[in-house]
Amino acid sequence: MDLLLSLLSLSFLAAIVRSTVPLALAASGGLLSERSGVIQIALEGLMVSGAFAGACGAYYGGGALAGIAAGVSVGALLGLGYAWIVVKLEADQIVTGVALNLLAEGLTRYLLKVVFGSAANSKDLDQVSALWSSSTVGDLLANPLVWLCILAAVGVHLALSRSRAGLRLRAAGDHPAAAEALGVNVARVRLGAVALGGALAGLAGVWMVLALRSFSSGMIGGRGYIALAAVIFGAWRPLPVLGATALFGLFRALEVELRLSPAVLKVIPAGYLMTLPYVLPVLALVLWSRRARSRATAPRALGRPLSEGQSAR
Amino acid sequence: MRRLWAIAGGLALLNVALFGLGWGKRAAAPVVVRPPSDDAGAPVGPALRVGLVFDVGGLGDKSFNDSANRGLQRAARELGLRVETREPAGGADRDAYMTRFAEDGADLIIGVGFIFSDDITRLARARPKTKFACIDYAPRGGPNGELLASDGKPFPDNLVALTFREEEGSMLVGALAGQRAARGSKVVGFVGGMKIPLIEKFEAGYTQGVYSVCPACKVVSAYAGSEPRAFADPTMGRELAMAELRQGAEVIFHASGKTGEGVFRAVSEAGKLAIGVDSDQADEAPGRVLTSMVKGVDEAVFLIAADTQAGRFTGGVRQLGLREKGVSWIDDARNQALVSPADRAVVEALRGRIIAGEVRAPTSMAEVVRP
Repeated sequence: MDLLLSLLSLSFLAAIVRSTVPLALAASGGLLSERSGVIQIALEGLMVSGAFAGACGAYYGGGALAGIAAGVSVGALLGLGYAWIVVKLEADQIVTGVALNLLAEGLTRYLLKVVFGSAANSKDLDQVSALWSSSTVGDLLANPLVWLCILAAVGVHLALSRSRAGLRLRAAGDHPAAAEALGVNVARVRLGAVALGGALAGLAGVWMVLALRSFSSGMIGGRGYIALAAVIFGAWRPLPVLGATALFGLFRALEVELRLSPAVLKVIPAGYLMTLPYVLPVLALVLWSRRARSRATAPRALGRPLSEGQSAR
Repeated sequence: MRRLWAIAGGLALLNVALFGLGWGKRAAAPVVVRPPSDDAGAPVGPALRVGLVFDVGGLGDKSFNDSANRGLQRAARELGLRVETREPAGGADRDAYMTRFAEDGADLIIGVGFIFSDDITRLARARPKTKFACIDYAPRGGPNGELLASDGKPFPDNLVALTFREEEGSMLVGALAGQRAARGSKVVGFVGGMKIPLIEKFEAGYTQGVYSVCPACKVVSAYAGSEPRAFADPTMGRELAMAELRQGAEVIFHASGKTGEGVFRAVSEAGKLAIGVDSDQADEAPGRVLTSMVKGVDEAVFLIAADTQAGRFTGGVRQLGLREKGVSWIDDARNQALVSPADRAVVEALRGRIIAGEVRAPTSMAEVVRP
């Protein structure tokens, strides 16, 4: 009964939004990158780096805005660096992405120690004002980042479907050779798309930091991978991807709620319950890809280096 | 040519990713604190070398690890010991750091947290000349009720296990929370870190404490996870606390290390109360921390270092409860406004009865009884 009342409350809605926003931001970023033809498995590392930079920015820059600026720039720069390695130098995208994730996790611990004197935690970010809090529905409605997130998700949708730049981006992801023939600089489009995506993933990390007013190592906790799963589950289309992140956000909030219910715990042991936000996305992906043969919906040149298929150089 | 560059770039990245941390570690010079020259009692000869490895959550958790660090830094200051600390990133690091300390000739190696139990036992057996201490060590019960090392054999002489009767301190803060809840919604909350018997001692003592003053009260509890990361997940801590507040919790007690930061955030946003753990956490949410169940981790670390320095180190299990002042609750100027004299009297009476042995705090949820 308590459980039911809780699930129908506005406060539960707020919990869903809180867990959806970082996923939606990161997934929008991942989507931009993937639609341009570059696999973006480094979302996790970009979020971690953005979060850490956001904490440093907020701490030394005196507030959330400096944190956002720092997180977004670091995300964009790292995205650009990643894009440079895989587009210009044609390194393997998965291997480079995984390396970036490892690098982010390790380097933030090292830098945390240098900047804040602890390899695990930043100082408290008391500089962050109440404007950025996310506790209730009211807080969320007043929080500029929530609106920025909606703007980003809808913006990506409109840009991809309605704008010239979006058309070029999609062409770069589906038929790079054709796009190249029509005068599109595919490499440049991909660099731009991945950098912009990195900025969004960085912003997702900043959201996590502002919500807690501190950074701790490991705080992203796989959300970057969940966001990537949402991109695939949403079949690389912006609005379904947004829906997928909301669904995964709902699972996460639901799992937290169910953990408090002794009645539920009697049926499902806590250990299994905790896997819910991870298992359900995977399950959804499996079912979905069987049904929709999502291979057909993936950008056709996804993961392929530019030189592939061209005559030997 | 391009491919070559790509491979070189990838390798460089991977190199930094894997070894980036290593540079930092080697660069960190050991903290050397010299004994005050006028201290007549200072030992002659080289200062004792102490290496301490932190638990999940790391420095700056404002709880468990920070408490251990306070004790160690005090030992460095007052006893003139040479101390060094390490913050492990993952499971393998713990063993590696302790081994490294041993190889570098540390006299005493301290592992902070139950999670060190197996590794530190194995190391202590392999290196009988080095002394080891483990906070919150998880001993095993022998067939005759005696306490054995975690590998089921008798304790080695060079390993001391420091354990606390957290259930006793938790029962006191439970009684305090229960009295507040009795006047309000009759609901209190508990947020645990990793779901293990050690943390269940907190939950059980707390729940029993609540029931002892408010049999009609309800305790909503939840754990942040079932792996060590659950002690370092403030985002989850915040969500769990908010869910408990939704169910009407007036006060939330956390035993979850760094995860508790999220609990403090949630209660201060909702205008409710939290109970801190391990350290006095009054600063985490000013005016919103009812009390803290403090565990003398700092004191224990200091004592072990002092004993080792004085040549009084003895192996085995040391249990610290209310009687030994190993656990307690905070009642000082900072929470005066939140603790009424009547509430305090009830808690203090309970403390007396536990110390006198009239009341036994439960160590598992199965032992909790609702009067």
